[in-house]
Amino acid sequence: MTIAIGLDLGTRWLRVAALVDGAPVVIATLPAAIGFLGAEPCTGDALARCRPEQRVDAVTAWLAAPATVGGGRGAAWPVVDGVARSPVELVAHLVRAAIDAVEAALGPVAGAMVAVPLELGALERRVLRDGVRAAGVDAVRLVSAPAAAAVAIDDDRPARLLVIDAGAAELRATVVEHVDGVVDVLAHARGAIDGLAGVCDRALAAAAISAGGLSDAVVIGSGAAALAPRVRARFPHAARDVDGADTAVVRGAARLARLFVDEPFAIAVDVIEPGFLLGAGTALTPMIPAGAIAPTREVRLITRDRPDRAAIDLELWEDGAPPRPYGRYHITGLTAGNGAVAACEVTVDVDRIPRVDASDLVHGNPLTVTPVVEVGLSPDEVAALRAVVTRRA
Amino acid sequence: MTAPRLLRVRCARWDQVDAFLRKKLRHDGRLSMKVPFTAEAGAPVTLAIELPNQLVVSLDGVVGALSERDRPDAAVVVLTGARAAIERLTAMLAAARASGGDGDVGAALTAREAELVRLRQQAAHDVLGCSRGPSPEELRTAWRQRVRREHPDVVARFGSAALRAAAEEAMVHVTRAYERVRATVCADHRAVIAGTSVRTIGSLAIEAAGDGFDVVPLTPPVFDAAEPVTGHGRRIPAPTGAPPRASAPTAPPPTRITRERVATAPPPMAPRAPAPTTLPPPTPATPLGLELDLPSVPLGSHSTAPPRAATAPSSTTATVEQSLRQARSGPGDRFVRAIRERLVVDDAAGAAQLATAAAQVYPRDRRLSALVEIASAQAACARHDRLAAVAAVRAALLLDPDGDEARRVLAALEQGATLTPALIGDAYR
Repeated sequence: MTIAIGLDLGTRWLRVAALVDGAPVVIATLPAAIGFLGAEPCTGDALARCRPEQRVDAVTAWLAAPATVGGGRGAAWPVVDGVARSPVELVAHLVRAAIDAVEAALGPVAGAMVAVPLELGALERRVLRDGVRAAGVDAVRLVSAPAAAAVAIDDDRPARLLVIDAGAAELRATVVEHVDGVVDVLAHARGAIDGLAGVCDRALAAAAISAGGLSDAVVIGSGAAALAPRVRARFPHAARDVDGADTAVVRGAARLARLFVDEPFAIAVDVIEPGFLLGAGTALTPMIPAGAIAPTREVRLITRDRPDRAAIDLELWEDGAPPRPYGRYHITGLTAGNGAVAACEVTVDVDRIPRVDASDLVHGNPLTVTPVVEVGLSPDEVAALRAVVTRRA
Repeated sequence: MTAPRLLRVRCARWDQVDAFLRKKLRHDGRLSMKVPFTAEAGAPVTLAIELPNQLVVSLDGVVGALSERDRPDAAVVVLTGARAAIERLTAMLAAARASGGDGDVGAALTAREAELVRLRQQAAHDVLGCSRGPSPEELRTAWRQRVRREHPDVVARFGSAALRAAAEEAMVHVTRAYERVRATVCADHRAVIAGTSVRTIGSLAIEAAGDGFDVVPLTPPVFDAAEPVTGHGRRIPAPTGAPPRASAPTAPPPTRITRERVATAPPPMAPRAPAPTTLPPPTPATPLGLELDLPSVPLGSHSTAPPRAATAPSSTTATVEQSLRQARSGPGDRFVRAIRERLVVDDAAGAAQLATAAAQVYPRDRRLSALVEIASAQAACARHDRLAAVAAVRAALLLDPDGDEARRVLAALEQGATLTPALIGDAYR
C-alpha cells in the first residue's frame, strides 16, 4: 500500500509525518542541514562525521539562490568543501533522507504535502517543489503552514482559528477558516515576540473579525509553552492547548496529504501574495494582482515592433520591493503580420507557482514557449538529479 | 484446423467493463457481437478483453449456430470458461472502484471536460451556483461547494496530468467568477475582502458594540470615499477607478454637496448658466428629487490627502470642511466617543474590540485607527510593559498626527510616568 506524507522544512528541523490508521504520526525529525563527504551526502546522525566546511547548516536559507533551467546559477550557491551545490540538490538529498525513513517504516511514498511559510515567494516554492520531485516523489503539493496547523486540530465543527506561531524571535498571527472541508487564510500579521497583543489585533483587524468571532486560538512553534499563558489571558474563551505544538504543522500536512491516496481531508486554498509582473520590451506591467485566489490566470496581448520578427521575448517577474525575476521566455512560431500577434497567458497554479503559455492570435494555435532562463529545473534536469539522489536508496 | 480468429474488446474505462459484463456477456458464456469476418458456425475464436489497467483477459470459444435472421457480420460466440472470467472481471472492477471512487480516470476526465464546457458558457453566478445578488455568506458557501467539487486536489489521487489540468482549468473559471461576484457583493453590502473571504462589517460593528449601535451613518462617510452612500444609507455600486454613476459627466473634482446647497440648487429641469470654473459642479439631477450626498474625497485618494474643499462655501460647509481637514470630526464620531468612554473606565479590551470594528467601518478615519493602537497601549500599561506602550502610542501618532491626547501620553511615558491604565484613561477623559 502506498502512503502519503507531510513534510515541514523549517530553519532548524525537517519533520516528516504520515497517516497511520487515519491518525497523523511524526515518523522522523532530521536537522535541516546536510553535509557532503566527497560525493556522499550525510544527513541526521551522519552529519557528525562532516567537518564544518563540509556542511550546510540551514538549507532553507539558500532557497532564494535558485538553480535555473539550463544549469545556470541564479545567485551565489553554497560552496560545500569546494563544490558549489544547488539549493534544489540540497533539498532533494535532505528530503530523500526523510522519505527513506518513511519507506523503511511504512512503505512506498505516493505523494508529499510540504508545509511552507505563508509568505514564501514563487522562487523558493519552485526550488522546493523541484527538490522534492528530484527526491523521488512526483506528486507534490505546497500548503501554507498556518493552514496545515489548523487542520491538525481534529474537529468537524466549522472553525475560525487564530494560529499564533511563536518562533525564536518572531511572532506570526494568522486567521484561518476551516469550514465545509475548505481551509484558507483570511489574514496574517507578524511582529516581535513580545508584541502579542498588537500582532493579534492587526491580524484580527485585517480579517475584519472581532476576538469574539474566533472559535479557537492556538499557539504553535518552539516558543509555544512560554507564550501559552499570555494567549489564554488574552483569548480566555478561545484559547486552546495543542498537544505537540512543535509538530502541529507537519501533522496537519500529513492529514492534508491524504488527497494523494484518497478523498481529500480538506482542501487548502491560497491567496497569491505578492503578484506577478510581465516584461515585454522595456517596461514591467502588472500581470497577476496580489490578492488573487490561486489558481488563477491572466492573458495579455503581445505586439511586436517589426512585422517580420518571428519571435518575441517575454519576462516574468515576481512583484515586490524590489521585484525579483522569475524567468525569460522565447516565444516562436508567430504568424507574419502587424499589430497584436500573440496572447500570452500566465497561470499561477494551486501552489502559487507561475507558468507561461502563449497562443497565436490569428489561428489560435498554441505557440512554442521556451524558457531561456527560468527559476527551477526543467523536467529532464529533475530526472537527471533524481537518478543521482535516489541511487543510494 | 484453421487458427482461431482474434476478437478484441477494448475497454478504456471501467464503466465500459461494467457495461460489457452486464449487457453483453451472458452467464452461460454466450456473447452476441459484430465480427470483422464472415462468421461460420463452429469456427474457433479467441476473445481478448483489454482492460483500463493494461491487463488483457483472453477467452477461447467458437462461433455458435447461426440463425437465418443473423447478419453475416454478427455472430453469437460461445466462450469456454466464461464463468471464471466473469468472476475475475467482477472482482477487478470492484477493486478498481474501491481504490479510487470510480477508479476510472477516463470517466472522470470525460465528466470534467463536459463540466468545463458548461462552465465556459455560464454567467458568473451560475458558475458558482448562487443567486444573482447573493449575500456575502451565501456567496462564500456557494464558493466552498464549488471548491470541494472542482479543485485540482479533488482529483490528485488519480495521478493523471490530464485530469489535473482539466480541474485546474475549471477552478480558474470558478475563481474568476467568485472574484467578480465578490466585488459586486462588497459594493452592495457593507463588506470587505479578507484573504479569500468576504466579510460583512456592519454586523461585526453591532456585535462588537454590543448595545445596538446604529452603523448606518446619518452623515455620509467622508473618510470612506471608495463607495458612495446615499443619505439613506443605501450604497450606489461604484466600480473602482470609475467615477460614481451620479457624478457629473464632465468629471469635475468630486465635491461635497451639502444639504443646504441641494436645497438652494435650481430645479433639475431649469436652464442653467454655464458654471464658472471657480464654482462647484452642477448638482447631479436625481429623478425623484432625492437629496444626494456625494463623498468629498476624490476616488482612489488616500486618507493622508486632505479632502478637497468646495470653493465659495457657505458658513456651514466651511466649518465642516475645516473640521474634516483636521480629521477631528466625521461620521465615526459616535464610535470615537464610545471608545474614549471605554478607555476612561480602563476597559482596554473593550476599547480595542470596538476600535478594531469601527476602523473597519470607517477605514479612512485616522482617529479610529489610532485608537486601536491607544487601546493596545492601555493594555500594555496594565501589564507594565513600557516598551510596548510607548511603541503603540508612537504608532497612534503616526496614524493620526493631530492626536493631542496621544502626544500628551507619549510625553508622560517618556518622562517615566508610572504605568497604570489610568494614565491613558485620564488623558482621554
